[in-house]
Amino acid sequence: MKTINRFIVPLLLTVALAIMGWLVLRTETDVLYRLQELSLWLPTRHFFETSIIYPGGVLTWLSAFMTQFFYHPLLGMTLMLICWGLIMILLCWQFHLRGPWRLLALLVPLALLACLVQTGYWLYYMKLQGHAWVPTMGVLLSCLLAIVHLLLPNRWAKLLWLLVVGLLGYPLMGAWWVLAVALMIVPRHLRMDKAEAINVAIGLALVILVPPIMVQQFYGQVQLDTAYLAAMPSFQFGQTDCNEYRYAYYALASAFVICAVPGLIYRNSEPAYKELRLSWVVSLLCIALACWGVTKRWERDTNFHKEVAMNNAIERLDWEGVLRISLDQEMGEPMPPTRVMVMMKNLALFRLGRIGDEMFRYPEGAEQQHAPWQVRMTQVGGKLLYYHYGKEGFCYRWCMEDGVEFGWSVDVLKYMTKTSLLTHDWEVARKYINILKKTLYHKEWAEKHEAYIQHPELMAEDEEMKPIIPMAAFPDRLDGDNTLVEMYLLKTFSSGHGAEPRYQEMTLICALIMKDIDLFWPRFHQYLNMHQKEEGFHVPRYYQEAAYLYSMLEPQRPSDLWPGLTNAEALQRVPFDESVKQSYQQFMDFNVQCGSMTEDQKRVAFLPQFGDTFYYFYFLRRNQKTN
Amino acid sequence: MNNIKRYLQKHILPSLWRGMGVGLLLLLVASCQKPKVPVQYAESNRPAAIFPDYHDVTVPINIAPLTFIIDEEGTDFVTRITSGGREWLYGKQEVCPKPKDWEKMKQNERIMVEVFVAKEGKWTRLMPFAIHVSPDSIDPYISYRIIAPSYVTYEDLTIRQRCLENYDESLIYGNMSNTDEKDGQCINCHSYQQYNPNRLQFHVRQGHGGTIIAYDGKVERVDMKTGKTVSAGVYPTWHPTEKLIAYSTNKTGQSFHTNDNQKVEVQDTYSDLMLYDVDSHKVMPLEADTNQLDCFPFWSPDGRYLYYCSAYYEKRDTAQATTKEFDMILNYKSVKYSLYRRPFTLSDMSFGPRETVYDAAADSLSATLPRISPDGKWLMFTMGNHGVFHIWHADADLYLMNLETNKMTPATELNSKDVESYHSWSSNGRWVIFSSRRTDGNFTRPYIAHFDRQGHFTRPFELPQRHPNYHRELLRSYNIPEFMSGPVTIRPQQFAREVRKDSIKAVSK
Repeated sequence: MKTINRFIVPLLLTVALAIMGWLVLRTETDVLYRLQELSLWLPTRHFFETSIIYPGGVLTWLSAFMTQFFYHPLLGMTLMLICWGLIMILLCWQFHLRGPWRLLALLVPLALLACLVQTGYWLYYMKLQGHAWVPTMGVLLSCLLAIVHLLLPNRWAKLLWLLVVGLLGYPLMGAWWVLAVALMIVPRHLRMDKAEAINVAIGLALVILVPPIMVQQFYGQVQLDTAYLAAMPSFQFGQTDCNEYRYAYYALASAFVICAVPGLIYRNSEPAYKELRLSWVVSLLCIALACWGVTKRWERDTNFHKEVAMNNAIERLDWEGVLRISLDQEMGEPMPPTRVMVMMKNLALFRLGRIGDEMFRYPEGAEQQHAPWQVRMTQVGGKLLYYHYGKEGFCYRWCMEDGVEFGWSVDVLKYMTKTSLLTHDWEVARKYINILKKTLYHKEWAEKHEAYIQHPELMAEDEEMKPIIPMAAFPDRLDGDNTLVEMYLLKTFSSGHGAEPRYQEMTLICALIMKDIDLFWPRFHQYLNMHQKEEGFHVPRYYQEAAYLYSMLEPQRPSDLWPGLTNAEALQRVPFDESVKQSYQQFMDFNVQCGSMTEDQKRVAFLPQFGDTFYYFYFLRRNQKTN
Repeated sequence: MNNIKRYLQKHILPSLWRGMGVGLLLLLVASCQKPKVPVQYAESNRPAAIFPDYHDVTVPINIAPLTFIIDEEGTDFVTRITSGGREWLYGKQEVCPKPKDWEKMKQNERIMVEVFVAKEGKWTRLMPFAIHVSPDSIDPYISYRIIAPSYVTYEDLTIRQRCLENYDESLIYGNMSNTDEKDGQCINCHSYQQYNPNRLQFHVRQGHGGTIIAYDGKVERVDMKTGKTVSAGVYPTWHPTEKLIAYSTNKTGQSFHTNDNQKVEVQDTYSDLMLYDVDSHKVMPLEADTNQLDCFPFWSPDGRYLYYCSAYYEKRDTAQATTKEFDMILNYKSVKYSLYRRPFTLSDMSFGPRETVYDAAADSLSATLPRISPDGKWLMFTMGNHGVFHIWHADADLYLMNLETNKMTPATELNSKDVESYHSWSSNGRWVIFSSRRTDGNFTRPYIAHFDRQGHFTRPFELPQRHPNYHRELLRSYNIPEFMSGPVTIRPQQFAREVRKDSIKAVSK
């Protein structure tokens, strides 16, 4: 039995870790990759010095270092699993866990897993540097410091170590230092001897006194009442307190308390045979409860994962991939898309030159992001959209705003580099490139873009930048988006004029989406003039549908296409596809059949047959709230 | 577990200590190798590319060592610095003279710098350059706000002080000491009475908003917003001798360039001037013409005149321009500021009618930020093609006017193709510090230049740093560099406490 316990428990723990890793990699690969894109670590003195101006700076610096390995999600996750495994070994050692009680050590990695996978939209809003790794590093360092304490040969050495950690740990680890001190002073027996009591008293005194004194003497930038929250993630967003995100941290603290209990009872001895069954049952029950907790905190929102995956696909220029993700039914519970998903899908279709034929064939919607606060497109996807649609000034602006508010990241530095290159702001582009060249995984990217400073003409050959250059070639003006990316793009493009075919088509698309008939006709007219002489030219389906619908809605309006004729007369001369005319007629016939329905009922009833038509979009998709 | 413990204590730890000892010894040996000037080298007739650019600059006798990085491609680097017959050699790409060596170098008027670069095994000597040492000393401290060049958001803002004689930098006040996720805090516009670090003011906006005024140890927070002004005090200027501060009051907005590297246009739609009495907490508005935009006041050194800039802007009646703000956005290039002054009589605290100092608008230019030299002879200001917030205008340059002859000239030695904006005279009038974005067009850095009695500037130098690459990595700007005669001794924590206390409400006179 003893042999079985000796081997089966480590085996179970290893298998559990492997399952945790597999689950994370199966569902969160894109999120892990984005975590490192939204983080930054530089091997420079300046970066280190900037990190340590707040208590816990070394911990966050180390965490940011580890975060960069999520560039290869498998590698990053493997490193995290190794750390979790090490934590379990140290916990067993620290708490003298024997036999099946060692399973309790899994509670800490489970709590750490919950801290990681609950992130959701905090991905974009978390200000704590290296936040994905901070709990793991905080726990690992605490355990290591505590084990050194355990290894020291006599009580004076232990006391000295406690004092060293107690006095110096706060600047290095912030609030996590409390855990390190707590692990060192946790009593070895239920009845403490005098030495242990002194140890506990000193430890408590250090925990109570050190942070306020340090803040008063050394940290002019820290508030006294937040001294014990240093290097901890803040789950407060403006006036919204998101307490539910703290549950994983409470669970983490509880896990340590639970792990301490068997050690106190069975110190230096294996549990007796009769208690083995109890230890198995209790341990497995605790783990089952923890697993349930993890599943409750795991952010499984389909749209969140799709947004992140679409974002990553766009950055790989995998436009077909964006469309696949948009339609993917296996990424979670089906739900209407968010506006940013719709916009990323439209961007992909625009890049592929298929937007006029396919834009309404994909899920439409305006679902709010699954977060307790109002998620803004300026933080989620907006910069990317501005960049690809040639609004470089606005992309740069939101990169700067986000860099300032949520911390500099590879993501914003890359966009700032690209927008600076496109606007020929060479020196500042060089500045960002020089910073990116110092990163572990983005040096190659930076060097590729560095070449564009010396040879701007190469940008015209760059697969990513080539289609953006003509989009950005418009006269400058003073403007503001009031944080509404979609409205800004729709308004500026629909009211824009341009002779460049891609830009011109965008003005037509936006006029169409805005359902603005007056803006639509001149842009449709210009579109026809630009393209009708092209060999094999065919007016995309939705442009035809819009033109046909508007002609039918205002038959007596003077035609923009044929001066001197009315829309009704002009209709006869335009070679509309038969399918366009038929679907219009079917739509109108069905509308007569559904005459008594409310608009909400019609929205459902029309969707299967007409959901992919402009008519449906025009009449039944209304008041979609953008963010 | 005990076995592992014993094994660690017996084998691993001693080996670790031994390994570290050997490593340290090797490091020590390696660091003791002295660089040598190459025996054979080719001469180049181009100057060495270095950052910051210290070619031919003039520095004060009490400045901290100038460190720089050699921006040349190469495998090995040797720099020889000579001064008064002595030489110092540096064998790395980063050249960082030690303070004691720098003191010796500065004992002579000219410090010569030669840079040797090895590429593919062949050495080249680039054209040597000189650093000139002026016997004129500079005020020992400056202060500035460190802020990212963002537009709406802000997070970690600090007003800092820096000793110019070394690299010591410390916090005067940081907003994070009174900021949480619910309530942010912006801090700005630090200002001193006659370079005196014991007499200062700065503003705190949003959370615990008000103006912090410290005067000889007494610190208070004042709410200066009254019903008679469009805002609380904004851009300050201390009267040189009296406990009076003149402010502009501004209603400021910003709009964004869609496609221009100047990125943002900051405009005042309303702005006026007011005078604040530190003792009585009384506010006296100077005038309230909604179409006259007065800004950036500055006292003459004798306290008899208040200089400022002003633009006249009247909303046009067009269909597009529904508000004055929108109208100004549409016509932002037509907003032109000129320089004025108003005589001040201390006995009755009254201002006389305004006098034109320079009608920049008549030249279709826009002049702001008038600052008078301590001897009262020179007026330095910033001028661009339009607008008031020149830090975002690449065409903004510094200009100098001789107030005795009214002759105006551009400060050519100081200007670059990019922005030059905020400037401040040293207390002896021999140095100026100014903001420039010449390095990358986006991040403001402080530059210092010598000014002689004949009204000539020398080539400016960037604020020296302990690590020469520092400004390249810093993703923040320096804002409002101001000279000080010494450090502010009130601790940031004390300022933080004062900020949290109830404010004093200013009253309108």
